[in-house]
Amino acid sequence: MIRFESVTKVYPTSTRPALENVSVDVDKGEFVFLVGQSGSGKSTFLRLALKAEIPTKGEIWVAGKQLSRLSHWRVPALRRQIGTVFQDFRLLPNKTVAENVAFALDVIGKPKHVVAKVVPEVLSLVGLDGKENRKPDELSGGEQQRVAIARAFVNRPRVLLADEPTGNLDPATSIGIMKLLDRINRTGTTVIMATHDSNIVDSMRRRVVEMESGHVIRDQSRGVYGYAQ
Amino acid sequence: MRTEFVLQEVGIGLKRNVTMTIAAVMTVAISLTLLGIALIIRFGADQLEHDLLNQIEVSVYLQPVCGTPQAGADCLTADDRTSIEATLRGLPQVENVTYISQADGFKRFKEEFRDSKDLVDHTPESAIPESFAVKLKDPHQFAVITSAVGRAPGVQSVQNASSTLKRLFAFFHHVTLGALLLTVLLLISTCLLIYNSMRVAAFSRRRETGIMRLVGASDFYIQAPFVLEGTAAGVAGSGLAVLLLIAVKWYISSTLATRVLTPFGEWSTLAHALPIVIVIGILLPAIASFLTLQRHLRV
Repeated sequence: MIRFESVTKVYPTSTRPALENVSVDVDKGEFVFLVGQSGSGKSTFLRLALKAEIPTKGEIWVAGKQLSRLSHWRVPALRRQIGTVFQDFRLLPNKTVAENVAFALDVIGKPKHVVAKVVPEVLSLVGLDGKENRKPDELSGGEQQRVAIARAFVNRPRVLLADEPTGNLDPATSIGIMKLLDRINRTGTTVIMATHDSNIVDSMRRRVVEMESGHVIRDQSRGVYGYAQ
Repeated sequence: MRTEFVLQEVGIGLKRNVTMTIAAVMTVAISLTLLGIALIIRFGADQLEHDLLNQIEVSVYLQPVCGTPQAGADCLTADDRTSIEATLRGLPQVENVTYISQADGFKRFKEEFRDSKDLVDHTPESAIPESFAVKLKDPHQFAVITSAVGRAPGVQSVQNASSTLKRLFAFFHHVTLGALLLTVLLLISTCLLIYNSMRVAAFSRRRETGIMRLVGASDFYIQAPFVLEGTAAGVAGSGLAVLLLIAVKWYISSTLATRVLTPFGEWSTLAHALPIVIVIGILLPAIASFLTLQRHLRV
């Protein structure tokens, strides 16, 4: 589903590569934790998969497409197959919960009746029944992240990229979010989650890819956060 | 495509940026009005030149008749008068020749200067020379008259009103040029203003556009609201400019355009100018905002 082949990324303002010669292969339906310290290259990895950045060297395939051969005007089609969730939620403060989720469908031109049908379904899936008309600032952090996940998932993407989705949440709330991501993964959606949270990684026992200064130093199925053999 | 959704976003954008929108609409309106005025002067002057040159006559003034108190050594004899008239009528460029006696000339003089009573009161009839009024087939060919009879005995001078008019039209051309130059400067500042308000709009909506990009909205969906905002400012500005220009036209026709300046106040002159004004007014902001987005809203 996602394949990095000897990918190197050097940002123009930096001499040290953010990623160096990284090769990772993620199958359809996998759940992968991307762990490592800040600056280890986790976010760069996710941005490259979105074609928000172009690799300096190497090739990337996402959802069957080779990104270097994907012309500018076909990038939106790629992104419709990828849902994205961030630590800071990135909701629109002036729109209600339902409008925030609907926005993702409105801007890709989905017909109104589809939006009206799909949005309540996905809000129910993420456990936000009855909160459709709240504004984001009336919700708890966990609820806001659920809205963001609903928005990322509403178009049924094949891949979900999550960049520290529990970074701003307390442990109890984080568990709820992880359950939700696990449920989404069980629908067949490939999930890649960058995180610092060792408790979560240890308790989920999924594949772990550990990065350090732009290199993959560990790639382990059913792994834990810290050192483990 | 969901037209309704795009339009709704345009409305939100215009409201959020209301002061910038007003500033953009007003600059568009003012620069377009100035452009319109420049065009009215240009088209009006062309029409006026055409009209006036067709009415113009060349005047051949004669010396005082021999034997009158004013007569000098080179006075006019009856033979001179006949031969001058014959020469004029013989020229192929001449359409017709009218003899104007001293009495007729004095009548014309009094008519022409009826507003300057002092001048009329202190000018005796005898001071007005007899003349031939020559109408040319092509008003630009007045030099032929000068060379044919300018030095003939009995001719005092050959006067051609078109040389005065030429200066008038040169003046109009300079005014038009100046106004067009100002218009260009104003249109440039309009573009810069739109460029800036688009940048501000792009910045204030970076959350929305960021999310749009992430969920795979096409360039069209991301940029259309901005371009339509620019276009809306252009349409509103053009509309205002059209109203202002109609007011200008009405003002000219009711005050300035008596007698001579009529062409400046006519609907046909305005009708020449308006399409240019409207097309520039709508295209320029749309293009300016589109170009801004190419720089500031890359996907």
